[in-house]
Amino acid sequence: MEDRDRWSSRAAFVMASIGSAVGLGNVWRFPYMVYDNGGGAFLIPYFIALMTTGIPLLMIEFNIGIKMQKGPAFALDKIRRGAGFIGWFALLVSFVIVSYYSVVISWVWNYIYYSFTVAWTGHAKEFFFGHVLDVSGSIANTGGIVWPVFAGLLLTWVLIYFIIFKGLGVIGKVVSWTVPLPFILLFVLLIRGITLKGAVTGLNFYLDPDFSVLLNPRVWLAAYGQIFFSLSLGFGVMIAYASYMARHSDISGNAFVTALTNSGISFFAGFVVFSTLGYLAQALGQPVSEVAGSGVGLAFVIFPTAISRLPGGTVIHAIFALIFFVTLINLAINSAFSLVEAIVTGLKDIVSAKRETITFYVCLAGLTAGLIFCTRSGLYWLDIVDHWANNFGAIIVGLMEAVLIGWIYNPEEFRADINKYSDIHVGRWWTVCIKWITPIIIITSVNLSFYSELKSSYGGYPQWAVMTGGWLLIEILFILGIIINLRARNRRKA
Amino acid sequence: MSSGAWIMLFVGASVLYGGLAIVFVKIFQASERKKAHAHHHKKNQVSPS
Repeated sequence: MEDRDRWSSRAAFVMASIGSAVGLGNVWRFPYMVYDNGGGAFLIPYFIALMTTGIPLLMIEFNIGIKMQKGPAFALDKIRRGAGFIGWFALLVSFVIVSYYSVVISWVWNYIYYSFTVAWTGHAKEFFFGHVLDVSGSIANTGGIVWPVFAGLLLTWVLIYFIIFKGLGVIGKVVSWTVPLPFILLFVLLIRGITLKGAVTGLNFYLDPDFSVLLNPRVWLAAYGQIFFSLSLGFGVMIAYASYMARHSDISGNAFVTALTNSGISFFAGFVVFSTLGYLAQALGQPVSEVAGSGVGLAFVIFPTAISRLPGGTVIHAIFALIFFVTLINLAINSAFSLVEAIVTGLKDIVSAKRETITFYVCLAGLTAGLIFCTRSGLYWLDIVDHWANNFGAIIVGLMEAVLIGWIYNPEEFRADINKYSDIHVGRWWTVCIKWITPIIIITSVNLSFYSELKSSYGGYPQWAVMTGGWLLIEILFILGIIINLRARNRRKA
Repeated sequence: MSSGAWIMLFVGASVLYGGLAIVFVKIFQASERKKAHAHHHKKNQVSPS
Protein backbone atom coordinates (compact mmCIF):
# COMPACT_ATOMS: atom_id res chain seq x y z
CA MET A 1 0.00 0.00 0.00
CA GLU A 2 1.20 3.50 -0.82
CA ASP A 3 2.78 5.32 2.11
CA ARG A 4 1.24 8.76 1.52
CA ASP A 5 1.27 11.53 4.08
CA ARG A 6 -2.23 12.21 5.51
CA TRP A 7 -4.08 15.09 7.15
CA SER A 8 -4.55 14.42 10.86
CA SER A 9 -8.30 14.98 10.48
CA ARG A 10 -10.99 16.21 8.14
CA ALA A 11 -10.99 19.49 10.08
CA ALA A 12 -7.26 19.99 9.36
CA PHE A 13 -7.88 19.56 5.63
CA VAL A 14 -10.84 21.94 5.62
CA MET A 15 -8.91 24.51 7.70
CA ALA A 16 -5.96 24.34 5.29
CA SER A 17 -8.29 24.70 2.28
CA ILE A 18 -10.00 27.69 3.88
CA GLY A 19 -6.57 29.13 4.70
CA SER A 20 -5.54 28.80 1.08
CA ALA A 21 -8.75 30.32 -0.27
CA VAL A 22 -8.96 33.20 2.21
CA GLY A 23 -6.22 35.66 1.39
CA LEU A 24 -5.52 39.33 0.90
CA GLY A 25 -8.16 39.48 -1.85
CA ASN A 26 -10.92 38.88 0.70
CA VAL A 27 -9.99 42.14 2.40
CA TRP A 28 -8.64 44.31 -0.36
CA ARG A 29 -10.58 43.12 -3.42
CA PHE A 30 -14.04 41.85 -2.50
CA PRO A 31 -15.37 44.90 -0.59
CA TYR A 32 -14.35 47.28 -3.37
CA MET A 33 -15.82 44.94 -6.02
CA VAL A 34 -19.15 45.06 -4.20
CA TYR A 35 -19.05 48.84 -3.89
CA ASP A 36 -17.92 49.30 -7.51
CA ASN A 37 -20.49 46.92 -9.03
CA GLY A 38 -23.83 48.05 -7.72
CA GLY A 39 -23.32 47.72 -3.94
CA GLY A 40 -25.50 45.04 -2.34
CA ALA A 41 -27.00 44.18 -5.74
CA PHE A 42 -23.61 42.64 -6.65
CA LEU A 43 -24.28 39.91 -4.09
CA ILE A 44 -26.91 38.38 -6.40
CA PRO A 45 -24.56 37.61 -9.33
CA TYR A 46 -21.90 36.78 -6.74
CA PHE A 47 -24.01 34.06 -5.08
CA ILE A 48 -25.06 32.68 -8.46
CA ALA A 49 -21.39 32.56 -9.51
CA LEU A 50 -20.52 30.83 -6.24
CA MET A 51 -23.09 28.09 -6.86
CA THR A 52 -22.57 27.66 -10.61
CA THR A 53 -18.78 27.92 -10.94
CA GLY A 54 -16.98 28.25 -7.61
CA ILE A 55 -18.38 25.27 -5.75
CA PRO A 56 -18.64 22.94 -8.80
CA LEU A 57 -14.99 23.61 -9.77
CA LEU A 58 -13.87 23.20 -6.17
CA MET A 59 -15.59 19.80 -6.13
CA ILE A 60 -13.71 18.86 -9.32
CA GLU A 61 -10.36 19.77 -7.78
CA PHE A 62 -11.12 17.97 -4.49
CA ASN A 63 -12.32 14.87 -6.32
CA ILE A 64 -9.32 14.75 -8.67
CA GLY A 65 -6.96 14.88 -5.68
CA ILE A 66 -8.87 12.36 -3.57
CA LYS A 67 -9.54 9.94 -6.43
CA MET A 68 -6.03 9.94 -7.91
CA GLN A 69 -3.97 10.38 -4.70
CA LYS A 70 -1.36 12.32 -6.64
CA GLY A 71 -0.19 15.90 -7.10
CA PRO A 72 -2.03 18.10 -9.66
CA ALA A 73 -0.01 17.10 -12.73
CA PHE A 74 0.03 13.33 -12.26
CA ALA A 75 -3.57 13.32 -11.06
CA LEU A 76 -4.76 15.09 -14.23
CA ASP A 77 -2.59 12.82 -16.36
CA LYS A 78 -4.28 9.83 -14.75
CA ILE A 79 -7.70 11.30 -15.56
CA ARG A 80 -6.72 11.57 -19.21
CA ARG A 81 -3.34 10.70 -20.71
CA GLY A 82 -1.64 13.93 -21.79
CA ALA A 83 -3.74 16.21 -19.56
CA GLY A 84 -0.88 16.42 -17.05
CA PHE A 85 0.42 19.53 -18.79
CA ILE A 86 -2.58 21.41 -17.31
CA GLY A 87 -1.30 20.53 -13.85
CA TRP A 88 2.28 21.57 -14.63
CA PHE A 89 1.05 24.82 -16.14
CA ALA A 90 -1.01 25.40 -12.96
CA LEU A 91 2.06 24.76 -10.79
CA LEU A 92 4.24 27.06 -12.87
CA VAL A 93 1.61 29.80 -12.60
CA SER A 94 1.50 29.15 -8.84
CA PHE A 95 5.26 29.53 -8.67
CA VAL A 96 5.12 32.90 -10.44
CA ILE A 97 2.27 34.04 -8.20
CA VAL A 98 3.97 33.03 -4.95
CA SER A 99 7.20 34.72 -6.10
CA TYR A 100 5.48 38.13 -6.05
CA TYR A 101 2.89 37.35 -3.37
CA SER A 102 5.78 36.72 -0.98
CA VAL A 103 7.05 40.23 -1.78
CA VAL A 104 3.65 41.67 -0.79
CA ILE A 105 4.00 39.72 2.48
CA SER A 106 7.41 41.34 2.85
CA TRP A 107 5.78 44.79 2.61
CA VAL A 108 3.43 43.73 5.39
CA TRP A 109 6.41 42.68 7.57
CA ASN A 110 7.89 46.12 6.97
CA TYR A 111 4.60 47.72 7.99
CA ILE A 112 4.47 45.61 11.15
CA TYR A 113 7.86 47.09 12.02
CA TYR A 114 6.69 50.65 11.20
CA SER A 115 3.44 50.10 13.11
CA PHE A 116 5.21 50.50 16.47
CA THR A 117 5.80 54.18 15.70
CA VAL A 118 2.96 54.58 13.15
CA ALA A 119 5.70 55.99 10.95
CA TRP A 120 3.40 56.85 8.02
CA THR A 121 1.32 59.38 9.98
CA GLY A 122 0.56 62.43 7.87
CA HIS A 123 2.15 61.15 4.66
CA ALA A 124 0.94 57.56 4.06
CA LYS A 125 1.13 57.66 0.27
CA GLU A 126 4.59 59.16 0.06
CA PHE A 127 5.72 56.83 2.86
CA PHE A 128 4.64 53.68 1.00
CA PHE A 129 5.79 54.53 -2.52
CA GLY A 130 8.75 56.71 -1.60
CA HIS A 131 10.11 55.35 1.68
CA VAL A 132 9.10 51.66 1.82
CA LEU A 133 9.24 50.73 -1.88
CA ASP A 134 11.48 53.57 -3.06
CA VAL A 135 9.74 53.26 -6.44
CA SER A 136 11.77 54.37 -9.45
CA GLY A 137 10.41 56.76 -12.05
CA SER A 138 9.88 54.12 -14.73
CA ILE A 139 9.74 50.36 -15.21
CA ALA A 140 12.96 50.49 -17.24
CA ASN A 141 14.86 51.92 -14.28
CA THR A 142 15.39 48.88 -12.03
CA GLY A 143 17.45 50.92 -9.60
CA GLY A 144 18.80 48.02 -7.51
CA ILE A 145 17.40 46.00 -4.62
CA VAL A 146 15.43 47.70 -1.83
CA TRP A 147 17.05 45.92 1.10
CA PRO A 148 14.31 46.18 3.75
CA VAL A 149 11.92 44.59 1.23
CA PHE A 150 14.48 41.86 0.57
CA ALA A 151 14.83 41.25 4.32
CA GLY A 152 11.06 40.78 4.60
CA LEU A 153 11.13 38.48 1.59
CA LEU A 154 13.85 36.35 3.16
CA LEU A 155 11.87 36.13 6.39
CA THR A 156 8.77 35.07 4.44
CA TRP A 157 10.57 32.27 2.60
CA VAL A 158 12.27 31.01 5.77
CA LEU A 159 8.85 30.89 7.41
CA ILE A 160 7.29 29.08 4.43
CA TYR A 161 10.14 26.56 4.47
CA PHE A 162 9.71 25.78 8.16
CA ILE A 163 5.93 25.47 7.82
CA ILE A 164 5.97 22.95 4.99
CA PHE A 165 9.29 21.07 5.03
CA LYS A 166 8.09 18.50 7.57
CA GLY A 167 4.79 17.83 5.89
CA LEU A 168 1.16 17.92 6.81
CA GLY A 169 1.58 17.51 10.59
CA VAL A 170 3.08 20.98 10.94
CA ILE A 171 0.79 22.53 8.30
CA GLY A 172 -2.25 21.18 10.18
CA LYS A 173 -1.00 22.72 13.45
CA VAL A 174 -0.12 26.05 11.82
CA VAL A 175 -3.52 26.47 10.14
CA SER A 176 -5.33 25.69 13.39
CA TRP A 177 -3.93 29.06 14.55
CA THR A 178 -3.47 31.11 11.43
CA VAL A 179 -6.99 30.53 10.05
CA PRO A 180 -9.11 31.50 13.09
CA LEU A 181 -6.79 34.30 14.26
CA PRO A 182 -7.44 36.76 11.41
CA PHE A 183 -11.16 36.23 11.87
CA ILE A 184 -10.88 37.21 15.55
CA LEU A 185 -8.71 40.21 14.67
CA LEU A 186 -11.15 41.29 11.95
CA PHE A 187 -13.88 41.13 14.57
CA VAL A 188 -11.88 43.53 16.79
CA LEU A 189 -11.42 45.88 13.80
CA LEU A 190 -15.13 45.58 13.02
CA ILE A 191 -16.14 46.64 16.53
CA ARG A 192 -13.77 49.61 16.30
CA GLY A 193 -14.95 50.41 12.76
CA ILE A 194 -18.71 50.40 13.31
CA THR A 195 -18.42 52.49 16.47
CA LEU A 196 -16.65 55.28 14.58
CA LYS A 197 -18.37 58.45 13.46
CA GLY A 198 -19.33 58.23 9.78
CA ALA A 199 -19.22 54.41 9.71
CA VAL A 200 -22.85 54.20 8.61
CA THR A 201 -22.15 56.34 5.54
CA GLY A 202 -19.40 53.92 4.58
CA LEU A 203 -21.67 50.90 5.08
CA ASN A 204 -24.33 52.52 2.90
CA PHE A 205 -21.73 52.88 0.14
CA TYR A 206 -20.83 49.21 0.60
CA LEU A 207 -24.32 47.71 0.57
CA ASP A 208 -26.89 50.14 -0.81
CA PRO A 209 -28.11 48.22 -3.87
CA ASP A 210 -28.36 49.53 -7.41
CA PHE A 211 -30.33 46.76 -9.12
CA SER A 212 -29.93 48.29 -12.59
CA VAL A 213 -26.40 46.79 -12.71
CA LEU A 214 -27.93 43.32 -12.98
CA LEU A 215 -28.51 44.06 -16.67
CA ASN A 216 -24.83 44.81 -17.20
CA PRO A 217 -22.90 41.70 -18.38
CA ARG A 218 -19.60 43.11 -17.10
CA VAL A 219 -20.95 43.02 -13.53
CA TRP A 220 -21.78 39.33 -13.95
CA LEU A 221 -18.31 38.64 -15.32
CA ALA A 222 -16.79 40.56 -12.41
CA ALA A 223 -18.76 38.34 -10.00
CA TYR A 224 -17.55 35.15 -11.70
CA GLY A 225 -13.99 36.51 -11.75
CA GLN A 226 -14.11 37.35 -8.06
CA ILE A 227 -15.37 33.87 -7.16
CA PHE A 228 -12.76 32.22 -9.34
CA PHE A 229 -9.75 34.14 -7.99
CA SER A 230 -10.92 34.01 -4.42
CA LEU A 231 -11.21 30.23 -4.10
CA SER A 232 -7.60 29.40 -5.12
CA LEU A 233 -8.96 27.58 -8.17
CA GLY A 234 -6.67 26.74 -11.06
CA PHE A 235 -3.48 26.79 -8.98
CA GLY A 236 -3.34 23.07 -8.25
CA VAL A 237 -3.49 23.79 -4.52
CA MET A 238 -6.87 22.20 -3.88
CA ILE A 239 -5.91 19.08 -5.87
CA ALA A 240 -2.65 18.80 -3.90
CA TYR A 241 -4.33 19.30 -0.52
CA ALA A 242 -7.12 16.83 -1.36
CA SER A 243 -4.59 14.21 -2.49
CA TYR A 244 -3.61 13.82 1.17
CA MET A 245 -7.14 12.77 2.14
CA ALA A 246 -8.14 9.09 2.16
CA ARG A 247 -10.06 7.77 -0.88
CA HIS A 248 -13.36 7.44 0.98
CA SER A 249 -13.45 11.12 2.02
CA ASP A 250 -16.32 13.55 1.71
CA ILE A 251 -16.06 15.98 -1.22
CA SER A 252 -19.18 18.09 -1.55
CA GLY A 253 -19.56 18.91 2.16
CA ASN A 254 -15.93 20.05 2.36
CA ALA A 255 -16.33 22.12 -0.81
CA PHE A 256 -19.46 23.84 0.53
CA VAL A 257 -17.81 24.61 3.88
CA THR A 258 -14.62 25.95 2.24
CA ALA A 259 -16.44 28.10 -0.30
CA LEU A 260 -19.10 29.49 2.04
CA THR A 261 -16.56 30.29 4.78
CA ASN A 262 -14.36 32.05 2.23
CA SER A 263 -17.28 34.16 1.00
CA GLY A 264 -18.50 34.71 4.56
CA ILE A 265 -15.11 36.17 5.54
CA SER A 266 -15.12 38.40 2.44
CA PHE A 267 -18.59 39.71 3.29
CA PHE A 268 -17.52 40.29 6.88
CA ALA A 269 -14.30 42.06 5.83
CA GLY A 270 -16.41 44.47 3.78
CA PHE A 271 -17.93 45.83 7.00
CA VAL A 272 -14.47 46.37 8.47
CA VAL A 273 -13.19 48.15 5.38
CA PHE A 274 -16.22 50.33 4.64
CA SER A 275 -17.00 51.34 8.21
CA THR A 276 -13.40 52.56 8.47
CA LEU A 277 -13.58 54.26 5.06
CA GLY A 278 -16.77 56.00 6.17
CA TYR A 279 -14.90 57.35 9.17
CA LEU A 280 -11.94 58.45 7.06
CA ALA A 281 -14.23 60.23 4.57
CA GLN A 282 -15.93 62.02 7.43
CA ALA A 283 -12.58 62.97 9.01
CA LEU A 284 -11.25 64.32 5.69
CA GLY A 285 -14.53 66.00 4.80
CA GLN A 286 -14.74 64.09 1.52
CA PRO A 287 -17.34 61.68 0.08
CA VAL A 288 -16.64 57.95 0.57
CA SER A 289 -16.22 57.57 -3.20
CA GLU A 290 -13.13 59.80 -2.96
CA VAL A 291 -11.37 57.69 -0.33
CA ALA A 292 -12.56 54.21 -1.43
CA GLY A 293 -9.95 52.02 -3.06
CA SER A 294 -8.74 48.48 -3.42
CA GLY A 295 -5.59 46.39 -3.59
CA VAL A 296 -2.21 47.69 -2.56
CA GLY A 297 -3.54 51.25 -2.22
CA LEU A 298 -6.20 50.19 0.28
CA ALA A 299 -3.89 48.07 2.42
CA PHE A 300 -0.82 50.29 2.50
CA VAL A 301 -2.15 53.81 2.00
CA ILE A 302 -5.87 54.24 2.69
CA PHE A 303 -6.26 51.96 5.71
CA PRO A 304 -3.02 53.14 7.39
CA THR A 305 -4.21 56.74 6.87
CA ALA A 306 -7.51 55.88 8.56
CA ILE A 307 -5.68 54.18 11.43
CA SER A 308 -3.43 57.20 11.98
CA ARG A 309 -6.58 59.35 12.26
CA LEU A 310 -8.40 57.16 14.79
CA PRO A 311 -9.43 58.77 18.08
CA GLY A 312 -6.67 58.32 20.68
CA GLY A 313 -2.93 58.72 20.67
CA THR A 314 -0.01 56.95 19.04
CA VAL A 315 -0.33 53.90 21.29
CA ILE A 316 -3.92 53.28 20.17
CA HIS A 317 -2.90 53.84 16.54
CA ALA A 318 0.01 51.43 16.93
CA ILE A 319 -2.24 48.75 18.46
CA PHE A 320 -4.79 48.96 15.62
CA ALA A 321 -2.06 49.12 12.99
CA LEU A 322 -0.52 45.95 14.46
CA ILE A 323 -3.92 44.23 14.53
CA PHE A 324 -4.52 45.15 10.89
CA PHE A 325 -1.12 44.07 9.57
CA VAL A 326 -0.98 40.89 11.67
CA THR A 327 -4.37 40.03 10.14
CA LEU A 328 -2.91 40.55 6.66
CA ILE A 329 0.16 38.44 7.45
CA ASN A 330 -2.01 35.55 8.63
CA LEU A 331 -4.32 35.77 5.63
CA ALA A 332 -1.44 35.94 3.19
CA ILE A 333 0.93 33.34 4.63
CA ASN A 334 -1.70 30.57 4.49
CA SER A 335 -2.27 31.24 0.81
CA ALA A 336 1.47 31.56 0.09
CA PHE A 337 2.53 28.27 1.67
CA SER A 338 -0.41 26.46 0.07
CA LEU A 339 0.95 27.46 -3.36
CA VAL A 340 4.42 26.20 -2.40
CA GLU A 341 2.94 23.00 -0.96
CA ALA A 342 1.16 22.34 -4.28
CA ILE A 343 4.48 22.72 -6.14
CA VAL A 344 6.29 20.44 -3.67
CA THR A 345 3.52 17.83 -3.93
CA GLY A 346 3.72 17.96 -7.74
CA LEU A 347 7.51 17.62 -7.75
CA LYS A 348 7.47 14.79 -5.22
CA ASP A 349 5.64 12.71 -7.82
CA ILE A 350 8.58 12.87 -10.24
CA VAL A 351 11.64 13.46 -8.05
CA SER A 352 12.89 10.81 -5.67
CA ALA A 353 14.54 13.36 -3.34
CA LYS A 354 13.35 13.94 0.25
CA ARG A 355 10.53 16.38 0.93
CA GLU A 356 12.96 18.64 2.85
CA THR A 357 15.31 18.87 -0.12
CA ILE A 358 12.55 19.61 -2.65
CA THR A 359 11.05 22.23 -0.33
CA PHE A 360 14.43 23.87 0.15
CA TYR A 361 15.08 24.22 -3.58
CA VAL A 362 11.56 25.43 -4.33
CA CYS A 363 11.88 28.08 -1.59
CA LEU A 364 15.31 29.10 -2.85
CA ALA A 365 13.98 29.40 -6.40
CA GLY A 366 10.99 31.43 -5.15
CA LEU A 367 13.29 33.76 -3.23
CA THR A 368 15.50 34.24 -6.29
CA ALA A 369 12.54 34.84 -8.62
CA GLY A 370 11.16 37.35 -6.12
CA LEU A 371 14.29 39.52 -6.39
CA ILE A 372 12.92 41.32 -9.47
CA PHE A 373 9.94 42.46 -7.36
CA CYS A 374 12.30 43.73 -4.63
CA THR A 375 13.88 46.24 -6.97
CA ARG A 376 12.81 49.87 -7.21
CA SER A 377 10.76 49.04 -10.31
CA GLY A 378 9.39 45.89 -8.62
CA LEU A 379 5.91 47.35 -8.11
CA TYR A 380 5.45 47.86 -11.86
CA TRP A 381 6.56 44.31 -12.66
CA LEU A 382 4.36 42.96 -9.90
CA ASP A 383 1.37 44.74 -11.38
CA ILE A 384 1.95 43.35 -14.88
CA VAL A 385 2.77 39.78 -13.82
CA ASP A 386 -0.17 39.67 -11.39
CA HIS A 387 -2.55 40.84 -14.12
CA TRP A 388 -1.46 38.16 -16.60
CA ALA A 389 -0.98 35.30 -14.14
CA ASN A 390 -4.56 35.75 -12.93
CA ASN A 391 -6.38 36.77 -16.11
CA PHE A 392 -4.64 34.38 -18.47
CA GLY A 393 -3.05 31.79 -16.15
CA ALA A 394 -5.22 30.34 -13.41
CA ILE A 395 -8.47 31.05 -15.25
CA ILE A 396 -7.30 29.07 -18.31
CA VAL A 397 -6.39 26.16 -16.02
CA GLY A 398 -9.94 26.33 -14.64
CA LEU A 399 -11.36 26.30 -18.16
CA MET A 400 -9.24 23.29 -19.15
CA GLU A 401 -10.27 21.42 -16.00
CA ALA A 402 -13.97 22.07 -16.70
CA VAL A 403 -13.62 20.99 -20.36
CA LEU A 404 -11.59 17.92 -19.37
CA ILE A 405 -14.20 16.69 -16.91
CA GLY A 406 -17.32 17.99 -18.69
CA TRP A 407 -16.51 17.02 -22.25
CA ILE A 408 -13.62 14.55 -22.37
CA TYR A 409 -14.10 12.52 -19.20
CA ASN A 410 -17.62 11.34 -18.38
CA PRO A 411 -19.15 14.07 -16.15
CA GLU A 412 -21.93 11.79 -14.86
CA GLU A 413 -19.36 9.20 -13.77
CA PHE A 414 -17.39 11.98 -12.10
CA ARG A 415 -20.52 13.20 -10.30
CA ALA A 416 -21.19 9.65 -9.10
CA ASP A 417 -17.62 9.63 -7.71
CA ILE A 418 -18.27 12.88 -5.87
CA ASN A 419 -21.48 11.49 -4.37
CA LYS A 420 -20.00 8.11 -3.41
CA TYR A 421 -18.71 9.16 0.01
CA SER A 422 -20.12 12.68 0.29
CA ASP A 423 -22.49 13.79 3.03
CA ILE A 424 -24.37 16.07 0.62
CA HIS A 425 -25.32 14.58 -2.73
CA VAL A 426 -25.01 16.83 -5.77
CA GLY A 427 -27.66 16.67 -8.47
CA ARG A 428 -27.59 17.10 -12.23
CA TRP A 429 -27.18 20.86 -11.79
CA TRP A 430 -23.50 20.17 -11.18
CA THR A 431 -23.09 18.58 -14.63
CA VAL A 432 -24.84 21.54 -16.30
CA CYS A 433 -22.54 23.97 -14.47
CA ILE A 434 -19.36 22.13 -15.45
CA LYS A 435 -20.36 21.33 -19.02
CA TRP A 436 -21.94 24.63 -20.00
CA ILE A 437 -21.96 27.52 -17.55
CA THR A 438 -18.32 27.46 -16.39
CA PRO A 439 -16.73 27.09 -19.87
CA ILE A 440 -19.03 29.72 -21.44
CA ILE A 441 -18.36 32.25 -18.67
CA ILE A 442 -14.58 31.67 -18.68
CA ILE A 443 -14.29 31.80 -22.48
CA THR A 444 -16.28 35.06 -22.55
CA SER A 445 -14.20 36.51 -19.75
CA VAL A 446 -10.86 35.55 -21.35
CA ASN A 447 -11.98 36.93 -24.72
CA LEU A 448 -13.01 40.23 -23.14
CA SER A 449 -9.67 40.48 -21.30
CA PHE A 450 -7.86 39.64 -24.53
CA TYR A 451 -9.80 42.29 -26.41
CA SER A 452 -9.12 44.97 -23.79
CA GLU A 453 -5.38 44.12 -23.82
CA LEU A 454 -5.25 44.52 -27.59
CA LYS A 455 -7.20 47.76 -27.47
CA SER A 456 -4.79 49.53 -25.15
CA SER A 457 -1.53 48.74 -23.39
CA TYR A 458 -2.22 47.54 -19.84
CA GLY A 459 -1.67 50.24 -17.21
CA GLY A 460 0.02 52.49 -19.77
CA TYR A 461 3.22 50.41 -19.46
CA PRO A 462 5.60 50.27 -22.46
CA GLN A 463 4.88 47.48 -24.95
CA TRP A 464 8.18 45.67 -24.33
CA ALA A 465 7.37 45.38 -20.59
CA VAL A 466 3.85 44.08 -21.23
CA MET A 467 5.21 41.60 -23.77
CA THR A 468 7.89 40.24 -21.43
CA GLY A 469 6.07 40.29 -18.10
CA GLY A 470 2.71 39.38 -19.63
CA TRP A 471 2.31 37.53 -22.91
CA LEU A 472 5.78 36.00 -23.16
CA LEU A 473 5.71 34.81 -19.55
CA ILE A 474 2.37 33.04 -19.95
CA GLU A 475 3.43 31.47 -23.25
CA ILE A 476 6.70 30.23 -21.76
CA LEU A 477 4.87 28.74 -18.76
CA PHE A 478 2.40 26.98 -21.07
CA ILE A 479 5.13 25.49 -23.26
CA LEU A 480 7.17 24.54 -20.19
CA GLY A 481 4.09 22.77 -18.82
CA ILE A 482 3.90 20.62 -21.95
CA ILE A 483 7.65 19.87 -21.94
CA ILE A 484 7.75 18.97 -18.24
CA ASN A 485 4.75 16.69 -18.69
CA LEU A 486 6.44 14.80 -21.52
CA ARG A 487 9.68 14.43 -19.58
CA ALA A 488 7.84 13.43 -16.42
CA ARG A 489 6.01 10.69 -18.30
CA ASN A 490 9.27 9.35 -19.75
CA ARG A 491 10.78 9.40 -16.27
CA ARG A 492 7.80 7.49 -14.90
CA LYS A 493 8.13 4.91 -17.70
CA ALA A 494 11.85 4.53 -16.96
CA MET B 1 -28.00 52.57 7.48
CA SER B 2 -30.40 52.84 4.53
CA SER B 3 -33.18 50.29 4.23
CA GLY B 4 -31.62 48.91 1.03
CA ALA B 5 -28.32 48.34 2.84
CA TRP B 6 -30.14 46.62 5.73
CA ILE B 7 -31.97 44.30 3.31
CA MET B 8 -28.76 43.33 1.52
CA LEU B 9 -27.03 42.82 4.86
CA PHE B 10 -29.82 40.43 5.80
CA VAL B 11 -29.74 38.67 2.40
CA GLY B 12 -25.95 38.30 2.42
CA ALA B 13 -25.78 37.08 5.99
CA SER B 14 -28.65 34.59 5.53
CA VAL B 15 -27.23 33.07 2.35
CA LEU B 16 -23.64 32.80 3.58
CA TYR B 17 -23.94 32.08 7.28
CA GLY B 18 -27.35 30.39 6.98
CA GLY B 19 -25.99 28.25 4.13
CA LEU B 20 -22.98 27.33 6.22
CA ALA B 21 -25.24 26.36 9.14
CA ILE B 22 -27.36 24.11 6.88
CA VAL B 23 -24.23 22.42 5.51
CA PHE B 24 -22.95 21.75 9.03
CA VAL B 25 -26.33 20.28 10.07
CA LYS B 26 -26.29 18.00 7.00
CA ILE B 27 -22.73 16.87 7.74
CA PHE B 28 -23.67 16.20 11.38
CA GLN B 29 -26.79 14.23 10.35
CA ALA B 30 -24.73 12.17 7.90
CA SER B 31 -22.13 11.36 10.54
CA GLU B 32 -24.88 10.30 12.99
CA ARG B 33 -26.37 8.06 10.29
CA LYS B 34 -22.97 6.50 9.64
CA LYS B 35 -22.45 5.89 13.36
CA ALA B 36 -25.88 4.29 13.74
CA HIS B 37 -25.24 2.12 10.67
CA ALA B 38 -21.86 1.01 12.03
CA HIS B 39 -23.41 0.21 15.42
CA HIS B 40 -26.24 -1.77 13.82
CA HIS B 41 -23.77 -3.69 11.66
CA LYS B 42 -21.62 -4.52 14.71
CA LYS B 43 -24.62 -5.73 16.71
CA ASN B 44 -25.69 -8.12 13.96
CA GLN B 45 -22.27 -9.71 13.60
CA VAL B 46 -22.12 -13.35 14.81
CA SER B 47 -19.15 -14.21 16.91
CA PRO B 48 -16.97 -16.87 15.24
CA SER B 49 -16.56 -18.64 18.60
